[in-house]
Amino acid sequence: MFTSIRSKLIIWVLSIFSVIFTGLGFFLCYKLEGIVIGSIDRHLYNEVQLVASLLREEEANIEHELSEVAVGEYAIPLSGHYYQIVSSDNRIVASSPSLSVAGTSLPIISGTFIPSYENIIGPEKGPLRLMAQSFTVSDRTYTIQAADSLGDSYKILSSFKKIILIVFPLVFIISLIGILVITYLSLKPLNYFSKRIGQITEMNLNERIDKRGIDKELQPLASSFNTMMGRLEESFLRQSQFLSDASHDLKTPTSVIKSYCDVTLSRERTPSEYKEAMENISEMTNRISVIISRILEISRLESKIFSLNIVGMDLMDVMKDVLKLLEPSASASGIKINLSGQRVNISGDRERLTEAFVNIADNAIKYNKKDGSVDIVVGDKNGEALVTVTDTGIGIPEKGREKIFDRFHRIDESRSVVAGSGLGLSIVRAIIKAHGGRIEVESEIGKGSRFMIFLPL
Amino acid sequence: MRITLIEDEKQLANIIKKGLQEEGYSVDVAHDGEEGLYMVENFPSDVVILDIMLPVLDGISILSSMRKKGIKTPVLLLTAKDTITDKIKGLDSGADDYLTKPFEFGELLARIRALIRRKADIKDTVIRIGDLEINTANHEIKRGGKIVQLSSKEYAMLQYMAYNKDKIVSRTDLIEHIYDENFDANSNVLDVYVNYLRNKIDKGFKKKLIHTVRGAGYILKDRE
Repeated sequence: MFTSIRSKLIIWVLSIFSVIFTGLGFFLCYKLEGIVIGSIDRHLYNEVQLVASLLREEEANIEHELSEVAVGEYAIPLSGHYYQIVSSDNRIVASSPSLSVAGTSLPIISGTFIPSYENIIGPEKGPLRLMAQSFTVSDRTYTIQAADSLGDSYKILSSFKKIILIVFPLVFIISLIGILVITYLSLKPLNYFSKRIGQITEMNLNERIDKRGIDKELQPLASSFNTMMGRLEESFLRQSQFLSDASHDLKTPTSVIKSYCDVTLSRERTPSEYKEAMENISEMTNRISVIISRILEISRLESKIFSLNIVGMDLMDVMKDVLKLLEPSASASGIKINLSGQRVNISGDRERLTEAFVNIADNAIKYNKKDGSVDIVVGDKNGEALVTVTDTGIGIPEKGREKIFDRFHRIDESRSVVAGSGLGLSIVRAIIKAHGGRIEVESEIGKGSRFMIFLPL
Repeated sequence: MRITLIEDEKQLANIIKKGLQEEGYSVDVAHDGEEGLYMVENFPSDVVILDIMLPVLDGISILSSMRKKGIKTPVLLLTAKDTITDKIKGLDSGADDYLTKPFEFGELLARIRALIRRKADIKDTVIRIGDLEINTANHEIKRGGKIVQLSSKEYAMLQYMAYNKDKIVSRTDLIEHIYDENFDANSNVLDVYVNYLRNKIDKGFKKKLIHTVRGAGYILKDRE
């Protein structure tokens, strides 16, 4: 139960409401009672002072003078408004008609000169507020008592309490409904999200959530969802593109083999014709196995299941090895390779790095123009090792520059001009990435390209 | 019948060319799109076999451009692109047929024959002129029920005349559709082959089927 956001909210609001409303209710009742009693007390005090002032003036004729006070509610028997004057020997000297006519009296209290107040049950069986104060008149001490009914005040207080008891739960229920509605409305998009996520298959990876109409707080979720979908779609497309490219690249040599078999077998052949067919088939088989091993290598590199054999090395030495490996094919194409720069020590997998640089330099030779050159410079820049490979070749068109590291991408669809499988640079990128490095390319059509390989020192 | 083959993979082009030549076709090969378009626009051909992924100019562009110029030669797309979208795109661009790599060579031959029949508006694989039967599927020739052996060039010549039966076939037509671009049009090789063909088809038969139309060319017909 406590695992639901809604029940947590309800419990939280319930506790806050109970504490605040209970406290507030008690506080308000207490304050209201104080105000009501205070006003009664003031009234009683005035009454007592009035009676006392009459006592002082006409000592012998108290009752007669008091008759001026004993009007209104004080004249109605058991009206709840009373006064009486008690002498020092606890004898009632005079009392309001509301008492005397009913033949009753207030409980006799021997007061002090300071007014005292107390709550009692009056003759009419109702709650009374009683005040008593002593006065000295002509050397004799009298205690004047006055009382007012608390009935009306208690009625006000109790109706106030009733209001609180009705209104507060009502407010609480309304808030509760509000919480339920708001949580329902705000959690609804989550249901929508989970429904949408549940519907995702490889068939609808292009779907995105429309951010309009979604609560502001949930928009980041929608954005993340869309970003995630974008990445999934991209990687899925890449995978399927890879598969289709791989199958496409395997189809051409397969077609050659198939055609040689079909045509050769279609009639009687001389041994030399069989030989020619077998030679061609063998060549195509080699091409297929190169493509397959490169595909496997990329898969291994990208799935990161290969381990790097990290050793310390000098990049200059690595590049010298690369030069040795490529010198024959470079001189065959009439291309000059220049290696310059300084010694830079890095750590990495020497074999893989050599492979990566061979691939890059090999491309620089392959895509070069006749009698062109390839310049390799080893150095460091801003705390990174940097190898630049510059060729004087055909250049890479701007729109294709981002894609050259994609598997099977070839700048030209031509396979016969340069026998590349289109996998070389994606292998290079995978190796450099695995070493924590990166590759940048600059190129100008017709003038050449520059590959910059950064590796951490 | 003359076929233009536009395929950048040289080994594949070579073996297809060899296979087609053995079937009596003359074959012109282009290794890139530009050369291919030039050939299609300037050399007569009965069928064009076109790859889609080509250097310089892709197959679909060649197709659209030749159709725009009103060249109606049947085109067979021979490509590794095998999705339905690619096929629809290819056929909608004006291709007459679509074959995906890798392919069965026999199927390629059968589809080429079908395209040639469609172009000549002939439904049957066997063409009959009087008592002469030409089976275009297995290249079997019968005259009066007896099998006649022909060389591939002789067959190609007879087949071309058969597809155009009852019509005059000019020397130029024959040269253009039976030989490839390397043929020397001034030689008298053609006349020699026509003579060989006559000897094999008409010799010993009362009714001659191959006729010379003076100054115009040849005609293969049953009626006088």
